[in-house]
Amino acid sequence: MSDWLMVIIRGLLMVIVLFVCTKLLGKKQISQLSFFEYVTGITIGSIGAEVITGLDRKFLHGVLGILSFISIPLAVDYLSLKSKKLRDIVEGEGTVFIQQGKLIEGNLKKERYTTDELMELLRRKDIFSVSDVNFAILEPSGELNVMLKKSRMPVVQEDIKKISQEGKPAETIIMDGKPIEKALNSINRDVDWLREQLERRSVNITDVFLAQIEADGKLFLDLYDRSEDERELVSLLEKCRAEFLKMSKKSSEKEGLLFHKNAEILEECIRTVRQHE
Amino acid sequence: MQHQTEKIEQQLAHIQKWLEDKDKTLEYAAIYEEISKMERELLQLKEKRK
Repeated sequence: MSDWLMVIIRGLLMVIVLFVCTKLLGKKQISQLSFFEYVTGITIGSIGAEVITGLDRKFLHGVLGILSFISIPLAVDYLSLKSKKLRDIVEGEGTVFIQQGKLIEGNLKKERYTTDELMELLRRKDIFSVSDVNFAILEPSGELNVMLKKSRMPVVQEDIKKISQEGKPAETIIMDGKPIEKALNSINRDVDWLREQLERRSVNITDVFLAQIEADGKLFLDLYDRSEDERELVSLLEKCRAEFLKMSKKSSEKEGLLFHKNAEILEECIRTVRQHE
Repeated sequence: MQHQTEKIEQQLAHIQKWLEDKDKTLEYAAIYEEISKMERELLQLKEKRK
């Protein structure tokens, strides 16, 4: 039999073998594949291709290779049903990002998610304000599942007692301890106003992990999880930094540059304390 | 101007003392070093002004 005909026959046979194997593996979608299923998918595809075109190789050996490979995820799937521990290892565990309305920075860091990315995930769920969220968990599949606060949960028709007003999405005005001037300008506010608001709550901007202005003008704050000592040190550094900045505006050009440079160094120091664990 | 420079000096000294009292000079060695450097720079600045 000629080689080309052999390749076609082996190819058709391999399609049948792979079809049966994928049926055995189940109906999970690509995004729901576990590590084993992902690796197996790639490997059996490679073996299949090798067997189809490598005419010097025995077809049966290829089929045996594929069968031995799919036996691993099948066994893991079976054992995962029996053992929660194994399931957590193979499929991974969810990571809580927000608990009782409070952002858990450590978990965001652990999963290498920025606040921007978290906000994006929330927006995909039509949530524009962190303060609406009671609980949010990042599933092993990468999907964020959110439980809203009771007051923000959808209501059924008989629950509606008043016509809801059209609201604007909450504006994020501090992210990672830094004010977002563009966002402040969009609501006709500035950094001085923000400082004043925070001073009333005895909080510095650098203490704030995330701040949002809600549609009704309410300020939502999520502070860094710091110890008292760290808070005190940041406060001292912040005061000194503010003094340097003040001096840089009043001094001669040369001295002003020095003061400004020191203010920047202190800002970096504050960041160091903030990131210190 | 002199008064404000002294105010900053005091604040820097305060931070340094805080780090020493809390036994955090090693933990925040880089910050301690920067604060010392700023103090030296301010001292030089004061001398130049004279």
